[in-house]
Amino acid sequence: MLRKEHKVSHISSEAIFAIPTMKPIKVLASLIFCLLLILTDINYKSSDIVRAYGKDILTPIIYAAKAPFFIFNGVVDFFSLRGDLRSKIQNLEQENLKLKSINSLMDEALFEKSRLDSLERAFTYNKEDYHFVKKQYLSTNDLKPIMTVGLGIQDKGFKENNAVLSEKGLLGRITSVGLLNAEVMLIQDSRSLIPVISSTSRLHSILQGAGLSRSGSLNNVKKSAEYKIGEELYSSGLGGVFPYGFPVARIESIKDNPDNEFLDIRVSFLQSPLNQDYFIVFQSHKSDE
Amino acid sequence: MNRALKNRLLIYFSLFMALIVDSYNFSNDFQFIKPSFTLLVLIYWNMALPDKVGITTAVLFGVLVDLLESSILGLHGLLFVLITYICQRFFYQFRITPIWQQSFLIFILAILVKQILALDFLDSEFNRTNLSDNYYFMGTLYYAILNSLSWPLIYYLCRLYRRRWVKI
Repeated sequence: MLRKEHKVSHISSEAIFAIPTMKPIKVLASLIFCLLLILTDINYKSSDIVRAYGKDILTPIIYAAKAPFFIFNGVVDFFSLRGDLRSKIQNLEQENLKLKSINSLMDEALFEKSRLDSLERAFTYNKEDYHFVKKQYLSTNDLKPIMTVGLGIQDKGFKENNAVLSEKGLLGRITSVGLLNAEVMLIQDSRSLIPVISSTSRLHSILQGAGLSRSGSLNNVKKSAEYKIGEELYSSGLGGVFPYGFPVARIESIKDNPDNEFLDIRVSFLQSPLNQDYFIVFQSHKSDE
Repeated sequence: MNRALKNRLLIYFSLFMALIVDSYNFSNDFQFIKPSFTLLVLIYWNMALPDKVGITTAVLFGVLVDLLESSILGLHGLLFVLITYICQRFFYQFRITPIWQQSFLIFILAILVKQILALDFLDSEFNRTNLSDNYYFMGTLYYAILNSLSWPLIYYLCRLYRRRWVKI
């Protein structure tokens, strides 16, 4: 055994460790390095720039995880000759999803028919503004859920803050864009804040998430506000990040706590990224201008 | 090829395989409680061949997991470094304990890891440092139980792999 592979007791000259322990300075340096990474990410959001590109590097790993299922489905399709039919159904499902998304907007537009300006703005949305993306991965932290979506090979010019929709309405917004993948912050995320307008009382407020499968809340709503349970909330478009008029959530409870100057309003989100693979990215060219 | 380099590559290969398994996406709530195989495989190598797995490996795979999970960059790196240090510091004790006791230690570690991931680093909620609630804590328990149940499987699989391929 080489001398550098073990420590030797100064008293008995016997080997104490067969394997040398880690050098404390190396551990300390690694801890400082990780802490610096964390601090720069928290303070300067440094990872937003590299994160989606990092996801691009991880794309082969994500595909490798799906490979056994692709192969199995491919073999089944080959032998059952249902491949064509499956792809047709897939295309129709995508088309259907697109139309449903537009329909959800139309419902709100019809509700607001008295407001001609809003109606006109709603009808100017066209199908070319909607692009399909496929879910690649959903983070395992349900308090801060981030969804990774595959953008495809063609460059469609996706940008940060583009809204992501499901068939039931608004799902989130893009926070980081890479070459092949993008990260989507979901509306259920505890960091997500969305300006919303209620369907019947027409009151504006800010909706904050609290994690997947949890109720969201409306922030700083005065006690004089006349919200109703069951009322739907739509994106109001204020702030210019989210487009106007997409369904977001439904009010499930309103509490008037005497020790709080605001109402405690809990809402349930209308959509979830679970059990769904395809989503739509909405690009408003108007907002770009 | 140099034996030491070959061993290192084989260990990295097993960690990449674990990362591939971790990156499989479940379309239900199991996604949030599935065991972290990368962490378990890293613990195994720290325990079995502590001189072959170092801090660099822990940081590298921690950052890769950060990218996969979209968590704050460096958070998993920090956790993996700490776990690597603990494993290497106490690997003599850890290695000779029965497998069920090792599973129990994995259970405790998994709870700590999941709770640290719930810390509110970005101050998204006022007056709260931890976003964990009852629902999250139950998820943490299931996650820890699944990790501890997966440990014997990982342990024997990695041992088989080590004895077959990784020659000292």
